[in-house]
Amino acid sequence: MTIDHQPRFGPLEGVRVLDLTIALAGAFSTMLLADLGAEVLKIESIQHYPTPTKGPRNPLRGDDPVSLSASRDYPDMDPGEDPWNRLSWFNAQARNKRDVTMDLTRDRGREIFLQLVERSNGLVENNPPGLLEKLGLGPEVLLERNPGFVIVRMPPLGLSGPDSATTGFGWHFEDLGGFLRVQGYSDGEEVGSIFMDGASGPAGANAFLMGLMHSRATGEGGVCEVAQVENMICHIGDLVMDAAMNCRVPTRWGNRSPDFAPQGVYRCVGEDNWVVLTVRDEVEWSGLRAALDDPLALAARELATVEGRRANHDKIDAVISAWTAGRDKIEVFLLLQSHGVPAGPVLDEQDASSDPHLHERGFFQLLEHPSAGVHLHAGPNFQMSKTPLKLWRAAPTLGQDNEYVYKELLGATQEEYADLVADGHIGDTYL
Amino acid sequence: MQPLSGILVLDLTEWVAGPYCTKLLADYGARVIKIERPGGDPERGMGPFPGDRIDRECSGSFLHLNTNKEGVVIDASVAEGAAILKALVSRADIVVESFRPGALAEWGLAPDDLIVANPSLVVTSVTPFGQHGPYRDMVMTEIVAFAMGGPMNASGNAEREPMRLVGNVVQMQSGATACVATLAALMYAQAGGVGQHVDVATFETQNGSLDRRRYYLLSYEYSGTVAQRSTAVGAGRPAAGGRFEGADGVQVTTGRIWPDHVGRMVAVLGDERVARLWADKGLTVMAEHAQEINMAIAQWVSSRTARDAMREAQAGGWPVVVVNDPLRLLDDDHLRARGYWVDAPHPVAGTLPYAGPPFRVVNGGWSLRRTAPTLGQDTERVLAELADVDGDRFTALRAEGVVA
Repeated sequence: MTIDHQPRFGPLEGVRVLDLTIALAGAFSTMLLADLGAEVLKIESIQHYPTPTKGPRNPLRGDDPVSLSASRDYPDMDPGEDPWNRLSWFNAQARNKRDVTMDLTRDRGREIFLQLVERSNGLVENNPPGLLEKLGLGPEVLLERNPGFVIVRMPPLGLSGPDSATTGFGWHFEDLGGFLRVQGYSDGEEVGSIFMDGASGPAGANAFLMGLMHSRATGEGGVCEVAQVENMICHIGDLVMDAAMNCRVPTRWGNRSPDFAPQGVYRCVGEDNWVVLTVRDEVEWSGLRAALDDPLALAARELATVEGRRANHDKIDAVISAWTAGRDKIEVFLLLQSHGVPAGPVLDEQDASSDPHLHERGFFQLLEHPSAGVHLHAGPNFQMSKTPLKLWRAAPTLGQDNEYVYKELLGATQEEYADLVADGHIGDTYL
Repeated sequence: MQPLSGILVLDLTEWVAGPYCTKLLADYGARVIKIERPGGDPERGMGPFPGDRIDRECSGSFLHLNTNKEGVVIDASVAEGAAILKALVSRADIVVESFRPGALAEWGLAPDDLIVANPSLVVTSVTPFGQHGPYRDMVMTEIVAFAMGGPMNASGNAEREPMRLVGNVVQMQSGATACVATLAALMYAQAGGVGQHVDVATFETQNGSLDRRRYYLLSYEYSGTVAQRSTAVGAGRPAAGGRFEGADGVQVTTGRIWPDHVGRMVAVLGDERVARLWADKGLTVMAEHAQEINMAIAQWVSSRTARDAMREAQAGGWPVVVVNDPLRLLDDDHLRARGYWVDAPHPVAGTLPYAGPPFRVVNGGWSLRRTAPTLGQDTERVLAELADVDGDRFTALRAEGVVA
């Protein structure tokens, strides 16, 4: 195996992060850091198959009790001989990261890990509470080896408090976090939010960077805690204000808005094609009317105010729906925007993958993966003028960077390397 | 000492995404000067309001988004206002702005020029579609952000229209993402004196979010398939499970019961009939005997408080949690024990509970030092301190409406 060298790029060039994350939330945090130029080392063990991160081990044989992913998440719907290297939800977040193996349950593996701690700025993990301690790698142990080490931990309910050991899935924490009682159709049908992991990504990266600033300023590292539910609640802080000010559960508005009218989702020509729009003020209301060629039904004086439009929302929706029904969603979007109306097509993955704006901005880049092949990948979530960001490599296969980490970073000789292979620390397939 | 103590941020943002970014900077210790146009940030007109009466000093969303900021009103569209802004920029470490692309340049405040004048300055633009590209002049609201950023196409009931996420969560996530990029650029500027312009587009923060559009995009690349709305939460899963009411009238949820957890559930319930069914039939009981199992869960939950049911089930390895809504969150036992809610006074809105730290940096790092500014609350003091505008000059500028 050849050694890939990460190009120097990004504002975090020279920062090294150990990645002990599982599934999505923590992995999204380290992806953001990798996209900013940090070197992210995903730590794995060939003894431990990480189902929440890499999907079922043998998806075709169906011998996993729970299939966490569907065949559509594999290239050409084929999990192949090495499904763990071919799963979209790992490969979508692990591009720009490195992958190294060691057995953290044995002393020799722990010592290798601690040598990496000495050479790194910090780690991110979102394992069940207490896992680091169980491995003998609690914060005190890590800080003894590297006093400036930044340890980001992401337990759903935090590290303290009566329910800190609580476990569950996304839908548990959305309900605990107050989302499901206010989200969904206005007639009461609830809609799961699929939001917590997305919100946790930036929170973990922010916690890491602030921890690193603190460490650089004081020489003192330590634990940064992302209680994922608390972070999620910050994103509905406005709704909690409603509860606090008015002593009520906020109204379930569906696709409408408490502040604006009209706002909604309107069907366009074709199967499952929709456009959304919002009218925030009188100028945008005039724009909407003009885009619709000033229909008589929208000319009534009472519709000139938001209160009037809210009172007649159903009627307005009927006019808009009749107009969108025979039109293409992109055509409607462009026309409404040209009249200054906030509007957008509901874009599915096919639409987004061919979106001219995203392409002109260079959001997508082609990457070649050793097992999955050549595909378009979504790039960094932001752009920078002086330190341009890039995708330098597709997601690593298991242990793809063992030579780099053991030989270049840790200085292992060929003999030592061979011995670590024989001893089950270095490998490129799960046992 | 907070992580961002000593950092000066000039906040030229409005609405939701940009202000959430600067809220994070302010809440973790940066000094954030929020510049508002005459009349103020339009978010001041957005609810919730006490008693649902519009009062631009009592907007719940504005209060949430602008904690720890100082408030200054300057009209940047007139030359004298722009000149004052320039003076403030020369002292700043970070400028965050959310105007339509090109607006700053029209006022003589183009990001590149600001960085030439102050080489280590980080300018972050948080806008709907970014600084370049065919959609750059377009406008966006929360529902547009989710429709175009996704996966709204896969959110909701397949038989009904796609459903947006609640509140303003997509735009706040954009702001949190902007904060990541801004902090990284700040560290780079601190290390080598090189500032830069950071371009954050909500269209991209959402298409690039891992929950879940980012991996849906790669799945599409891999297999040509797109994600679909489901018919209901839990569709295709065993039918047993759901929400159940405790003795105190509060509900718990089991969510979908994962196959790995069924044995633990049976042990926790201690119901002989359910245990026998489980021993005889295994996992198939979840679908075939859903009603009996749900009755057993209901009976078990109803004989203890919801919180006790959650704790006993969790102790047995069965994921059950209490069901909250935004009102119940304020009384959540765990959040209160962690001191999550912070009561703080505001000169007009009075004392309200504010959401606490989204994350805790070594030793905490977060604090609520003050609530959101009233319109122009700090104009006179800040301009005297940081822009050498005071006395007669300030009075004259105020009379002309350049500052307020």
